[in-house]
Amino acid sequence: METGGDEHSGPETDELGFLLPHLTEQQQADRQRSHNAAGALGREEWTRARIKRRLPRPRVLKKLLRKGGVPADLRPWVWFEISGASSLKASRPPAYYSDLVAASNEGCACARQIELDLPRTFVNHPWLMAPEGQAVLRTVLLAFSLHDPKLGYCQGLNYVAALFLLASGQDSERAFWLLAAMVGRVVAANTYGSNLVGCHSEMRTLGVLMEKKMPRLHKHFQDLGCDVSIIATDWFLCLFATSLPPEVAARVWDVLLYEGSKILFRTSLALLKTYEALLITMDNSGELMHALKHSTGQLWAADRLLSTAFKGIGGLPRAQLDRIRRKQHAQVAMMLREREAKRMAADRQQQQEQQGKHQEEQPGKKQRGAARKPARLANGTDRQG
Amino acid sequence: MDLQQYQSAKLVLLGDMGAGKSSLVLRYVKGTYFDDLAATVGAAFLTKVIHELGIKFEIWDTAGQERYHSLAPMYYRGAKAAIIVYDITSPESFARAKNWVRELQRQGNPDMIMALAGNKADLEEHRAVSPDEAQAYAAENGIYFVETSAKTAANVSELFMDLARKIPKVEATPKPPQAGIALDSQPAAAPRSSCCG
Repeated sequence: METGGDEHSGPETDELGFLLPHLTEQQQADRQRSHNAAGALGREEWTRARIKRRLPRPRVLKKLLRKGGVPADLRPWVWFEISGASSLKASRPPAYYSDLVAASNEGCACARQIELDLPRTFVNHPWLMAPEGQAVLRTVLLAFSLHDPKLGYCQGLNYVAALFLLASGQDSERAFWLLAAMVGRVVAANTYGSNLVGCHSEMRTLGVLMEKKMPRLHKHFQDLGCDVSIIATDWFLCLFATSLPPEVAARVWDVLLYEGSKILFRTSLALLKTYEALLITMDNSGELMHALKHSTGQLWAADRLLSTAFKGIGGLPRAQLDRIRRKQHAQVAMMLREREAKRMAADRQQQQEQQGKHQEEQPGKKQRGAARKPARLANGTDRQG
Repeated sequence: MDLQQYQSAKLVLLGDMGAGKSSLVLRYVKGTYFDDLAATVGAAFLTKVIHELGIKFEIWDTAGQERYHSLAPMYYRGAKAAIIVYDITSPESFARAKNWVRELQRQGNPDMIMALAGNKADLEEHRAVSPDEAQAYAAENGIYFVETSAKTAANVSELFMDLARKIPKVEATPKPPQAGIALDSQPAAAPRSSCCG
C-alpha cells in the first residue's frame, strides 16, 4: 500500500507542532477559550514589550503570565529572560555552549542512556520522531550532561529539553540554557540527582499540602494505601510535559519559569482538586493513577486550570512551604540513608556466606543457607543437628 | 464467574532502562508491539483478567533508570509476583537484573513469585548474555527463567501464564480481598537465622 497521501490536509498540529488528537466539542471549546484569553489579555503590553525588547514591570508581568500567558511567538525571548537563562548565559564565556558540544563529541558517560530515550520522547511529534529532531535533542542533552556532570542525564529531562526546543524555534543553544536554568534555578535542588532525593521531598511535601487542603481526598489515598508519589512522579520530573497536553504544559511553564517551583505545587493541587470527585470513586491505587493520567492528558482548559491553581486552593505562604519542605527533606534523606545501610549490610552478609561456602570442606565449619531457603518443615520435626 | 470474585494479584516489572518492560506488558495486555513507545517516567498501570484461572493481574510497569530505583519499593510492596527483565544484548542489564533479584529477596514479600525474563530474544546476532548463564543463575536462586521477545511475541503470554498459575489460590470468600493492598500478617521472614547444613 502506498503511504504519503494528501500533504495539504495532513493531520492537524498544535502551536508546538504536536499532532492533535481527536477533540470533543467541549475540548475544542476549552482549547479555543484558553487561546483567546492568551491573545486578548495584555495584547498592548506584550506589543510594547516586543517593540522595546524590554519585559513589562514585575507586577504587570506577573499578572500577564498568570492570566493569559506568553504569546507563542514571544516565548523564545520571554522564557529566556524570566527563567534566568539569559543571566546564566551571560555569566559564562561566550563559547561555553559550543565548547560543551565539541567536548560531547568526544564521548559522554550518559550517551547510551540518552540514545535509548531519543526515539521515545514525544512520539506524537513528527519532527522529534525524525532523525533531524533527534539529533538536535541529542546535542542539547549531551551538552547538559557535561554542564552538570554530577547530574548527568536523568529520564524526564528528555521531555523537558524537547519542550524547550519546540517552544524556542528548535534552537538548540536556547533550549540548552533554558534547561540549565530550569534544573539549576527553577525546580528544587537535586530533583534529578542521585536517588531523585529532591523529587522525593517535593512529592512528600505535596502529600502534606494535600492533607491540609483536601483532607477528604488525602484520607481516601491513605485508605487505598496509595502513596501520593505514585501519581506525582512525572509531575515533578517532567513538569507536566507528559501529563497535560503539551501546549497546556507550556502555559504552566509561563508561570513556573517566572515564579519558581511553588507553581508545581499549585498546579498539582489544582489537578487534584479538579478531579477530586472522580478520584474519590476509585477503589485501588492503580485505577486511581490510571484515571488521573487519562483525565489530565485531556485537560485542554488551561485557563480554568490556572484559575484553580491561583484562586481555588487558598494561600501557600513561602515560609510555611519551606518549613514543610525542610522537614520532608530530612525524613527522605534519613529513609534513603537507612535503606542504603541495610543494602550494604545485606551485601556484606552475602559475601560472608559465599566465603563460608568456599570453606565448606573444612571440618566443623558450619555452612550457611543458600540465598533461598526451603520452607521450614511443619511441627518442628526437623530437629537434627 | 462474576468479575468481583476474581482474585487480584499485583505484578511488578523491574529492570534496566530500555530492556523492554513496557513492550512486554503491552504485548501481553494488548497483543501488539509498539515501535514507538514513550519512555516511562514514574510508572504505568495496566490490568489483565485471566478468565480460566480466575485471576486479575494488576500490573505495575516501572521506570528503569538506576536513580529511579529509590521509587521501586512503592511498586513492589505487596506484590504477589515480579518479572525482572533484562536485554539479552546487554550484559549491564543482566547485572542490574541480578541486583533486582537480590533486592526482592531481601525486601520484597517473602512469598513473591519471581521470574527472570531475557527479552529481545529476536536479536540473536547481538546476543551478549548466554541462556545457560541466565538459567544457571535463575536455578541457583529458585526463580523461573525464560527468554522472551516482545517484538515477535515469543514466550510472552507463556511467561505471564506461568506466573499466574504459581500464584497461590485464595479461598473464595463472599467479599473479595481489597485490591492492591496486601496486608502481610506474617512476620517478616528476614534472612537473619542460618540453618544447618
